[in-house]
Amino acid sequence: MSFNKFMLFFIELIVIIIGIFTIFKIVKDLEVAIGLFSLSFGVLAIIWTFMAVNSLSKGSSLRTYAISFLFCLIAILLFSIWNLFIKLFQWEKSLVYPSYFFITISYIIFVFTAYKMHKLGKEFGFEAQALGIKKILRKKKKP
Amino acid sequence: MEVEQKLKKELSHLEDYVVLAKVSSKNYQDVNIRIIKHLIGVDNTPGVYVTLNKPYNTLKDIFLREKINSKMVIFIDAVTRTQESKISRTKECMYIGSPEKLSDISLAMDQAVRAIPSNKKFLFFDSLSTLLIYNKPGTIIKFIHFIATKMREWKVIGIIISLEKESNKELMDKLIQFCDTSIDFG
Repeated sequence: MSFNKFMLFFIELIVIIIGIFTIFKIVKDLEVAIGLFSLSFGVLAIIWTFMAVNSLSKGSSLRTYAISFLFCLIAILLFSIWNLFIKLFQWEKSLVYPSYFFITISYIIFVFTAYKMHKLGKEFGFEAQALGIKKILRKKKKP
Repeated sequence: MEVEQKLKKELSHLEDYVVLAKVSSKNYQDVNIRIIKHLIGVDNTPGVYVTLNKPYNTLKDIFLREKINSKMVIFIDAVTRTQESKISRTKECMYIGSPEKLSDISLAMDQAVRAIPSNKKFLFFDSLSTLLIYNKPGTIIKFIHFIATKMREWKVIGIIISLEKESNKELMDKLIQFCDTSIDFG
């Protein structure tokens, strides 16, 4: 690792530590602080996935998978935000139900994304051909 | 000069290399076949053939006619699905939607090269000129830079075919710097 890369990593680490420290210092409630802390990771994950979707070729299998994954992240983030609001504003009864909706939707999209992943594995896997090549090479090696 | 002789002369001192092979449209098919014949028949090297020009079925017939063992090759076909969208993956060949889908081509190449159970393998990319029809020159430069870097990482013999007159000179000059050498097969 070069000196510049190390310094960059060091600065990033300090910024993250300061961020975490600030959250826990300002927010006295541990549950809310942890909620905000996890939300920041969720937002970062969405930003990175969004950037990936933008740079992948239109219509490609990988982009379709990235889009599905993006929806999963959004649904999970909505669930976390709603849960945070429940805690912050002391919501009760009917206002709690949307959180169940968000988590159910998240799992449904996760299943869809996992299926996409399964299809991607099938489409881009070359095990059968590799086995064929292995057999041919082994045959040729034999005297 | 014969294709085999040129290959031997230019590449004998290199172990893993990335070559930009320039061919005229007249000799295109002949040169492609001779290079593949040299790699599979003489060097006994398995590899990956990425075709953006000819459909897999046509290539299979050519290989059969030229007595090249097509089982030593993993085919990635980015042409057929532009005509027959419903064609599905077979044991012999993987079909990509179109030459525009560079992400899928990259992913398929990565998986195919890594799957080959041999230390010595090749990646044959046919061709740069077709890529130019579907993509902007800037995108192609980035893509070829990516491929050339990956070829070195995978430690494969990389051959990128380009039709001489169809690719602009400025682009070719930029692309040559990513390759170890360029061979003009005429």
